[in-house]
Amino acid sequence: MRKMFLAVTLALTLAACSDPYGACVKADADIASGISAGLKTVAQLQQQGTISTVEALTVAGYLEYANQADEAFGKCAQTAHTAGSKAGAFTACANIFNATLNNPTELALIHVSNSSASQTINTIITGLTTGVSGVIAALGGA
Amino acid sequence: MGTTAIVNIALGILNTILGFIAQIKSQGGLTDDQILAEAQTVTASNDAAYAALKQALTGAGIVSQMANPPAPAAKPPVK
Repeated sequence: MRKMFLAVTLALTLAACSDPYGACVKADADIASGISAGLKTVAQLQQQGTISTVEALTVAGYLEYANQADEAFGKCAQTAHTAGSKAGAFTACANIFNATLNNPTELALIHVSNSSASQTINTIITGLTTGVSGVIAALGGA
Repeated sequence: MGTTAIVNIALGILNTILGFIAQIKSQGGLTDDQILAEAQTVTASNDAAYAALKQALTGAGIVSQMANPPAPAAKPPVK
């Protein structure tokens, strides 16, 4: 559900933005919103006893890692915009963001025993990476 | 204070952030720079929410420590 939410939101977002900077900052904001919702979901799953405290901390830790990458992405896009939007600058920012999210070391830390909760967590994380992939595609090398 | 009560506080913070986000989005018509400022506000709030959640969970004495994620650095290419 979260994956769908992010994918749809980003598609609408990118279609509504006429320039790469606008697309990047809107994606930055939407992904930050998705991370907020993800943190809330993790807290609720822990509260319900669906995931353990350790699992909640691990997944929340990844979401904070993604949040920091999102912060860096926004700053990168702002710098590229200020510098005059040189060719490929925005796409480079998004590629770094994408590579950070897909860091195998970080992803390997995420493990949830409950299959239903695992699916939920996977959907949240896939939603983030799918969203960033969508940004890269929409930028078209800009 | 038990774990449930502390996590409830963290959830309250997260609900406040999500309400704040919805409020900003309902305003519409923002410039790109204003949207960036919104994003920076939300990511900063996420940092605070994560810290609160981590404190809530580790503060209950269940977990002594967890890995601190490294801060990724992103810079535009210099041409």
